[in-house]
Amino acid sequence: MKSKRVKRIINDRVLYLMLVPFFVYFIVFHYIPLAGNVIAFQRFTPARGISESPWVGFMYFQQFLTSTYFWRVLRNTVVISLSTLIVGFPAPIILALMLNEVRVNWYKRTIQSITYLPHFVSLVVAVGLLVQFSSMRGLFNDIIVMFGGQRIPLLQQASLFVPMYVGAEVWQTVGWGSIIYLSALSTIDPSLYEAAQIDGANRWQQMWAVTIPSILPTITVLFILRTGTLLTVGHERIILMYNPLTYETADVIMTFVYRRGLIDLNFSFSAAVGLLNSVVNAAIIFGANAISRRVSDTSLW
Amino acid sequence: MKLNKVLSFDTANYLMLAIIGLITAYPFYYMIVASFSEGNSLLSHQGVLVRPINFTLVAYERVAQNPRIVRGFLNSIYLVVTGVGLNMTITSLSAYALSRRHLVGRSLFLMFAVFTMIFDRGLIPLFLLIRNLGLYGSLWSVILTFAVNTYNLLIMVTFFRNVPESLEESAIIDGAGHFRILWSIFLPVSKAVVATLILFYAVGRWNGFFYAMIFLPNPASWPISLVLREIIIAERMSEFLGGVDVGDQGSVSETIKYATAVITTLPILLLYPYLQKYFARGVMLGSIKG
Repeated sequence: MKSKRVKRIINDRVLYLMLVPFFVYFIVFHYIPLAGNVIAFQRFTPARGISESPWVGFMYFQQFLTSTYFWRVLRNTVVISLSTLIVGFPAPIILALMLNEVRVNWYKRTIQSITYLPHFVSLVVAVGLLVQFSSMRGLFNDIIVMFGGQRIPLLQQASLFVPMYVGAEVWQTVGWGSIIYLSALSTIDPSLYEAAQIDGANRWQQMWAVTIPSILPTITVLFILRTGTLLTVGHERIILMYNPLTYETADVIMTFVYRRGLIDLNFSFSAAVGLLNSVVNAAIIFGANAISRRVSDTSLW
Repeated sequence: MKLNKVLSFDTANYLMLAIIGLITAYPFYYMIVASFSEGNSLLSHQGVLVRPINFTLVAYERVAQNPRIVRGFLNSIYLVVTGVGLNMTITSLSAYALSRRHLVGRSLFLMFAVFTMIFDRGLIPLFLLIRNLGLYGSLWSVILTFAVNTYNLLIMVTFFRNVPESLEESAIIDGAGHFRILWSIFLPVSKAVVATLILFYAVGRWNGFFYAMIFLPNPASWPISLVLREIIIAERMSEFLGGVDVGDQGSVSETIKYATAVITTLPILLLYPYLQKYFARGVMLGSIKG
């Protein structure tokens, strides 16, 4: 039995050879950094390296958990994530339902082409345009003035950061997010609509009685999987959008890790915060995935 | 009465979709129109911009003459060409091997890759690794950090698993080795998925800025996205671009921002018909599990 296995492995040596770059990449660029997280338990300096740096146990974790920054970044992460979920999750569903009702094909295709576009555009371009529109002389301020308001630097207001972020995020992702629902909508049996029409249901009633129940399983699965990323926010977008004036509401776990680690060069402290975040994230993904598997037989793995 | 109701349902729907379309498209339209406008007129303009104000190509002339921007564009092309070449080589080799059902350890290897999607490697350890490998400051830091995307790999594994075994068997009878089978059978029959993944990787490479920002201290090696960040978001245009004359700094620098944003987006716009076609297919492929 064992020798048969060994024989198969020898027989497949070319296949293993093909996997060499795969292993080199994942070991060097994923598993070695993963192991490198031990610096979170050390007072690490690059000069001393991992082998020479003194061990400090959970000191940096404690330092983070008891600092005032802990609550700020946790609160901001959860607030931004939940706001994005509340607005950003239904938005593509609604767009898909609206597109689904369009009978004129060219119109539907045009709107689809336009709304998919932002997905492909660089975050830097998207945020760059937002910065221009939000500036003192920008379009948003022109609109504020039109309604009798005063010009304000919109991206420098801590109180406006979350709505600005959510708006930008939804603007860039709503069209693309609708694709998966549109494909679910396309599989609905047309005879269901005919039956509803015979029962005298109008378009609105048909949507509630036929369309929405039909895509509910898709919605459920995507919602559960989405909750797996609850503590993951688009920190790249935030890094482009925020500034010291808005840190109070904009600074999230990952932007904090980035600033503390790569700008202030507190490697160990920052690695501790990052590791904590990775562990909690992995736990949430596992949880969401387990629930999804139980509820719907669908899971990520 | 009834007809009236149907009309209002449709009218409201079509109208709202038109508004959504306008809100989505306008920023791009504005970016293009502003890039062809004269700077001072643009700065003093208020409200919606319909067409270029005092049409001029001066912003593009400045962009073409600016070594930093030209360099950024070329760096991005280099990043995409070598990066995607490496991505596709490793992804297809791995996907082929991992899709062979008889391969001992196959599911273990897949888990080995999937684990990295769930458990993030950590920003700081990655940064220190790049420094230790001597890649800090080199474009290869960014190229190698993203040599394989696990999600893309899984798409290709799933696709390769569905290649009919008869095709493979007849090739083996003809004496072809695995490399040969991959190259002359698997890749040609998987053209759609290959195109999808090339586009997935290429768009990611072209648009990425974050890791370039942390791994590349020298502006000479920056990709265009990072150059754009510096001039449009960090507002360090004059220090960064140097060559802008003091006299017209205000006016031209405003339109240079838009012109740079346009050339950053141009490759995406040119590829857009393909992107739409293949990406939508990619979304569907991703939702099927093997």
